[in-house]
Amino acid sequence: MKNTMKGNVMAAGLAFAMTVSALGGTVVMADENVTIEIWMQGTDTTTIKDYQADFLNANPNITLDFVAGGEATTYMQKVLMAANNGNLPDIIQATCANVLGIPETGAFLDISKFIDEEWMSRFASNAFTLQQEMYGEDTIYGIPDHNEIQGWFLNKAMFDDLGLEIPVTWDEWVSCIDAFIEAGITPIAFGAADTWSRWGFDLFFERYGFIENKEALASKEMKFSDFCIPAFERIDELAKMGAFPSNTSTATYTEALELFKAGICPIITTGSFGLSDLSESEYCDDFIFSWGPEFTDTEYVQNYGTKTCSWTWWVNKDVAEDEEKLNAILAWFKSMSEPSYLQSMVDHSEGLLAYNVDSLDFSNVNGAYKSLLEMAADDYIGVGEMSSYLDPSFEASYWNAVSAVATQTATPEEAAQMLDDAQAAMP
Amino acid sequence: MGSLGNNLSPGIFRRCSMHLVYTKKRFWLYSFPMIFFYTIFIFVPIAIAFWYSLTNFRGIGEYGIVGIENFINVLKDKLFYRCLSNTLKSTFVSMLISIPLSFCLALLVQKNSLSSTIYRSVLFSPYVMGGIVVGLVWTFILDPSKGFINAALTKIGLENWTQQWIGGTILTPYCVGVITVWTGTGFSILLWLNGIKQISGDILEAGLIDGATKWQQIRYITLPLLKETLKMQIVLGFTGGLKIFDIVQSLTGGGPNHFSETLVSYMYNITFTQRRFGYGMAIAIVEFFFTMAVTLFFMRVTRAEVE
Repeated sequence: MKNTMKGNVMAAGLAFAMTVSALGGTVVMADENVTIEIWMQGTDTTTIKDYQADFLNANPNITLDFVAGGEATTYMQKVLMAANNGNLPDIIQATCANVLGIPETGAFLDISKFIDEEWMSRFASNAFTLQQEMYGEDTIYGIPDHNEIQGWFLNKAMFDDLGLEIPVTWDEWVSCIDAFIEAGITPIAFGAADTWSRWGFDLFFERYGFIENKEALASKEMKFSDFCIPAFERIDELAKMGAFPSNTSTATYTEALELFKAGICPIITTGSFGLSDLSESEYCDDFIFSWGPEFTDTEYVQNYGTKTCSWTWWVNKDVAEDEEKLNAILAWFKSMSEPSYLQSMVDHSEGLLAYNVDSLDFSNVNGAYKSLLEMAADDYIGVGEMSSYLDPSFEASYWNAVSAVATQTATPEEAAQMLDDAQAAMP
Repeated sequence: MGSLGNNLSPGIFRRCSMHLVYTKKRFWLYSFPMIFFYTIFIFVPIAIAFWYSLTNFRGIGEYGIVGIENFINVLKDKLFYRCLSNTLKSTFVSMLISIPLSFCLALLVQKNSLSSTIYRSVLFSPYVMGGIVVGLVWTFILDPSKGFINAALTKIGLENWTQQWIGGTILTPYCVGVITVWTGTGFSILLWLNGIKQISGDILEAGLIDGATKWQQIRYITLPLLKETLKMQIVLGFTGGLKIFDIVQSLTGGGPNHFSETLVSYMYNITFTQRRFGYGMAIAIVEFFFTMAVTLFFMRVTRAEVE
């Protein structure tokens, strides 16, 4: 009888271990219940919660308490205040650019010593590049959430309908835009009311010399007006051609996205973060990603692409005082690198992953996703978005300057002056 | 001791003193909650904002004292003046329309009838709507492309009359003023109704006996007796106008290129989007003193009239 019971217990234990293993979860041997408070940008926590089901089933003593922080400005306002008062939650989700200034105060925990060789091998080669550029080779304050690329999506079918090749140079872009306008089609879906939706234009500036001069600009040895006027002139040219919708100044990014998804406009600036939205479109197999126009009137390098791992789960330094919680957090982080978890992200078109994805099955992904994967792996030099290299005070002025030219409420020279003023206000 | 002490018996003097102590105690007892909450929620935040306005605080980390540098920069800031101009345009449009309009509507709905009550409720309803919702609703009316007004004008063959009501460089602040009229008129009507109810029926009746027409009653009796209400409308309209934020934020986000930015939305963006807390607080303090100056000016005018 005793032996039977012992056998049953062992069998149950074995079954539990097998279940956990099959779920791809990581079991944390914690004695007490652990609640991990996680703040994230946006209003939806349902999707992320759904993805954690396997981990939570395998670790019933762990609770992941996701708190939606709202839109970017409001969210970062809360994060800053919490960091300033020493009240940060256990984990916050934010981009490298958005947390500028916080790690310097010692508010985050350096988790580099917990990431062993095996774990590190699961990440994409560029997963920690941006963090290392900002905080040094040996420091890791958080786990990258996504590999992100930003630029332009084109509706290839609409280009094909007019017999247009996919453009690469500026002149080719202008020819295509002209052809669309002649055909009565508004070429670029762009909503300047959300000034932040300017991703593709970052590469205009980066290809006109920002990358080569970023240190000089950050240290104020060089002015923005010394290099950026041609970039603004290209945006001005697009606006004057009528490349943007007539209500650009009041249109939002969401409205622009709808125009593109509905096959009304053939071009939009967005990034891999927009993939799940784009995948809802009936035309998503026709969408291809592009790094945008390359310019022949400048000596600067042109094969730059905005591809970095910027979105990160940052860890509060206070977590170090609670070993059980720290272990739970590390286990959760590790669970997000498990193949089953990653495959589920791929199957739901959740963008590009910050992990080594060789073992994953991409055979069922849509055209837009395939194009993103190709571009993420191309030989273009990966750079961050412009504002990630500068003081946070600069970002909003830059966004405003781009949308001001796009809405024809400022000339290229006035926009360049705005950037000079913003640079002067940087500490 | 003065003559008061000489003329009063010690008993009376003691009673007066006791009464004084008693009154002072009561004064502090009754005033304490108001003083406490006013201090915590009004004076302390203003003092903190003033302190940060003298620093280069960036929302986190160490900061230094920069003296009045932020204030000098505010006075040299071209965008600050653009925002001030936008705010004043919206405020004046709002006051110019809202005050006479709400007075006329108050006269129409002053009767205690069911229909007047329904009209009052309908007119007051926009006042209880959140500014963000109001902004969104009006986007569908004013947007140059998808808005109702331009669509209607086009439909009836008046394409030439279509305008860039919002999102352009000229009209947005004025349209914000019109939206403020829509949201604030209900409250203004209530103020007028309250004033109208204070007017004695005898005076109106006397006017009627003297043969005054309805218009003459309004012109020579009602309006002069509502001077104090009018002053209150002006003060509230002006100070309310200086606080416009949420409507603009959801209507245009202050854009394009700050052409619809108000003082408060500019201060908010500087503080929280650009993380220039010190500079943002300096803008807030300048706006505070501007509002105080305007309010004190009106108070002075009012006092002179009363005297």
